[in-house]
Amino acid sequence: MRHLAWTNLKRHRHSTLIGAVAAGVLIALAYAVGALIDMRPLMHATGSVLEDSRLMPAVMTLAWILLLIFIVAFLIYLNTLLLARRTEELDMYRLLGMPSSRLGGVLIWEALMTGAAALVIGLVGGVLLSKLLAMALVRLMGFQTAVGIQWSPQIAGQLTGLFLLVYLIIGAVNAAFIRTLGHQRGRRAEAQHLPPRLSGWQVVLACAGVILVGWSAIGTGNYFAWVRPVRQLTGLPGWGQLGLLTFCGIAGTYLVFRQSLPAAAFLLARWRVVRRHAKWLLAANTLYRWWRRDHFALWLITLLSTLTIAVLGSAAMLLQLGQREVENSMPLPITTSASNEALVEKKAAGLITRQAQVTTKRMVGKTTLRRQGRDDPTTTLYQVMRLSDYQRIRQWQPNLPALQVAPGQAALVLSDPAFLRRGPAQRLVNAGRQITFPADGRTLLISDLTTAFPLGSAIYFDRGLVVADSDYEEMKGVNDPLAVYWLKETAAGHRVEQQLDDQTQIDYVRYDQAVRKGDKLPTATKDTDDSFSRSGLNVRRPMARAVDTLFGFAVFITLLMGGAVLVATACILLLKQVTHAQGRAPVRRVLWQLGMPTSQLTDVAYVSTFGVYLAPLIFASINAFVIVHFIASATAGQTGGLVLVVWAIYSLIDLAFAWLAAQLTDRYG
Amino acid sequence: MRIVTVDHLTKIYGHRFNRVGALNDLSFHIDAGEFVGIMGPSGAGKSTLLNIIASIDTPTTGSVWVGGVDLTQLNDAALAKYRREQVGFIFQELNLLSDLTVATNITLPLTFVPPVPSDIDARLAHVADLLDLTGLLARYPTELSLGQRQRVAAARALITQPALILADEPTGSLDSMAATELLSYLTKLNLEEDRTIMMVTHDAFTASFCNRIIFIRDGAYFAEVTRSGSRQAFFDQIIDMEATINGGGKRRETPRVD
Ligand SMILES: Nc1ncnc2c1ncn2[C@@H]1O[C@H](COP(=O)(O)OP(=O)(O)OP(=O)(O)O)[C@@H](O)[C@H]1O
Ligand SMILES: [Mg+2]
Repeated sequence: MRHLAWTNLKRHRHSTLIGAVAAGVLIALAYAVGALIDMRPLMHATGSVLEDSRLMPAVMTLAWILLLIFIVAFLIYLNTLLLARRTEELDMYRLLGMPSSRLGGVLIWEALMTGAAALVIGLVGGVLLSKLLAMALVRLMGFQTAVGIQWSPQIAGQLTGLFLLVYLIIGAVNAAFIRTLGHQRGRRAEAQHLPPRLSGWQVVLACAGVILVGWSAIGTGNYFAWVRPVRQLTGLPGWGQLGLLTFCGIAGTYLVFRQSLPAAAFLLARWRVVRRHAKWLLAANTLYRWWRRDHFALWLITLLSTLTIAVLGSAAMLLQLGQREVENSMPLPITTSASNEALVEKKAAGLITRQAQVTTKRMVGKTTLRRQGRDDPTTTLYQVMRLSDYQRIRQWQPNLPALQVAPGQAALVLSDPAFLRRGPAQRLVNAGRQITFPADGRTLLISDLTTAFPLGSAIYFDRGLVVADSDYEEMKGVNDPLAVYWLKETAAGHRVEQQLDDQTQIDYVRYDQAVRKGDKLPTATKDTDDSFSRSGLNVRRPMARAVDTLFGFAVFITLLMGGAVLVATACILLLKQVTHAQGRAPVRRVLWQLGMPTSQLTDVAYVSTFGVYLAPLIFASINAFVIVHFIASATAGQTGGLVLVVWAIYSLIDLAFAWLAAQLTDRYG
Repeated sequence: MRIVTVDHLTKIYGHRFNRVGALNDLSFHIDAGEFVGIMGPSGAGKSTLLNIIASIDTPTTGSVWVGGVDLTQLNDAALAKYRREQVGFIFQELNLLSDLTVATNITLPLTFVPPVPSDIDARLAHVADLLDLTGLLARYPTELSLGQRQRVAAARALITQPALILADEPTGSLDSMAATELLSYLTKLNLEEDRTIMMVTHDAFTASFCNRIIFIRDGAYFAEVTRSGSRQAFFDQIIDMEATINGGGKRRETPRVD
């Protein structure tokens, strides 16, 4: 039995190898993640930055469990693929009179042997990978911890037990499956040689697929003016429309692989020009067979790839967003309000290299601004600053734009970029609006708007205002002096920054009915329902580190998951491709016998293989860009360079697999 | 003029401990314009011989010259060109592509390498008409009877207008009417267009369309019969020789099969 199992594995060595290697890579990943959780110093280091030492191990454990579930699901799917292509062979064993119990035993042995190979690959690879992963994690999170090779007998034992069990179950299920053989004898072989067809309703479904996918992309992205009214035709609320669009996308993608692509290949093969070039004709035919037969796997792969690219892309975008957020809220080393100056000067005595004061006034202001096509009247708290102070801050804080402010005018600083829309001739829609101050009845003309807060948004209660120096002197508000400190770039300096960061200093100001009306001024107060608050002491470095750590960790986890999905999908495609290539081998042989040059046979293999790999990649890319774009507009992120880099890397890996598959295909026949 | 020279051809399949000698020091030659039949018992090596002449199999030792060129000296690309342009092969197992219509199956060899002949449609119409396939051009091979498929295979081999036609039991699945038609078409090609034809057959009636029959047994040359008189006389000669070959009569050489 063992001998026969071994012979069988050898006979299908390509698919055995692909299956075992893919499982091995995934097990290696599982081992590496498990070993990471076991790395005490690393977990300890993250705990000190993230304030909660349990967060990272908890998230990692969750990721680990998800990974294991994914791997098991993948192995089961892989097994159905491998078994499906062998039904004829197994059927023959049965026909020749091999008892099903014996054949079942062979199948269990095969599964266990494959599992053992996968485990060996996985554990050896995992030990190496764990170091790589730990290094990547340390880099991404900005630590200086040294990491060595991790051998964790406990994790290795757990994984060995788990996966041997999984393979045993797979073997047992296969053994049970062969008892049902014989019912479908011959049907598969027949389907292989059924002539290509295209009926009327297939054309209709093919068109429907393309329309659904297109509408899902256009509708989600809201790219045209007519989209909104069409979306609203359903009468659904916003999330309902989104759900419907998602459904359209998923169902449409299925139809595309089930009907549209085969129909396109069919029509292509019918086209006179193509029929006159055997190379293209045969490639179109191969693709037709592929798409007709494996539409489900391709659809699944497209969905998984969409998810992977979208998640990786969003992670990249959020990383950028996080860094921008730090830049925006704490652009300078230490900023404080007046009440905390003494604290900083005491703690950092002897370490301060530079210090600056900026006076501001707190006032309540009223204005009506336009946002998303609607007028939005707001009364809120403004911190008013002299234009000359603003110019001074610009020297330390290069991200501040030049502002146009004349006497009688004001530049508005707020956080929502939606207020900064530009109309015709690049004019700010909100420029020219008025802002009035109930406390002294003054009115200023808004001349400019920006989202870049001088000294950083963390030191603001809500909005800021930059006015001409002459206006500033006359305005009636509560003085709110702010200070900026630069410390020595030494270990002692960093330590003090860390200590200061641990002090939570919140400032509250009064903001009740009387203040809003201008009868009272927004003076400092204790925490009440009618108050505004801000952080009165902001230290940049620890905050930046925490964000880097957190986002670095998030990126790490998504890369890990993305990598696992990528390996799995590419492997499924590779395996399908090998199966398919074996099926096409007789055709290739006939073509060769008829005198088709080998170079052209190679071309056919490459064109059709890349066609197979590119279709999911293209659709997944379109879908993912729509999703990332959607997330970007919802979070004010930017679909910038990093997203493209992530996508390019993903595509490159995918195409590398395509190349490998093409090589294998070309080898057959 | 010699078109085919088979020179001490030996073909051994398998490895050291499991050798099958398919051809055994076989030599003969064929002149341009001949219509030669190859006969012999099942397993005698007829298909192997044809495959080697068509360059889709390679000899173990010995060589094959076609049109003055030694096939063993040609590289892959040259062999592909040779198969494409000089020989038309009607396979024993037909080898039609199930994904292509009958019309595309037939014209396929013309579209491998550009330029595609400008008279491709005329050629298709011509062979389809000759082999009575005109009504079937839009169908797929799986939708045809075996005999119809055999005619498609023949049409595909003939459309390139090859100088040498190799046919491995081309009438195996045809009824006597259709067989006679195909054979008379081959005869016509042979006589009017001077095509050389090598045809493997089991059937003395089919063989009687040839003008020479080479008999092979156990991979070696056994005998040959040349037509001199009427077809009926030739037919009787063939029947006699078949009886000899199956009766285990005299041989010119003893095959060595190790
Ligand atoms: N690929 C192969 N591997 C091993 N042996 C082979 C192979 N092809 C043919 N043979 C053997 O070579 C011998 C000659 O085979 P071939 O197909 O040439 O016979 P044939 O004369 O065409 O027979 P038939 O009239 O039945 O078609 C046979 O004994 C056969 O078993
Ligand atoms: Mg034969």
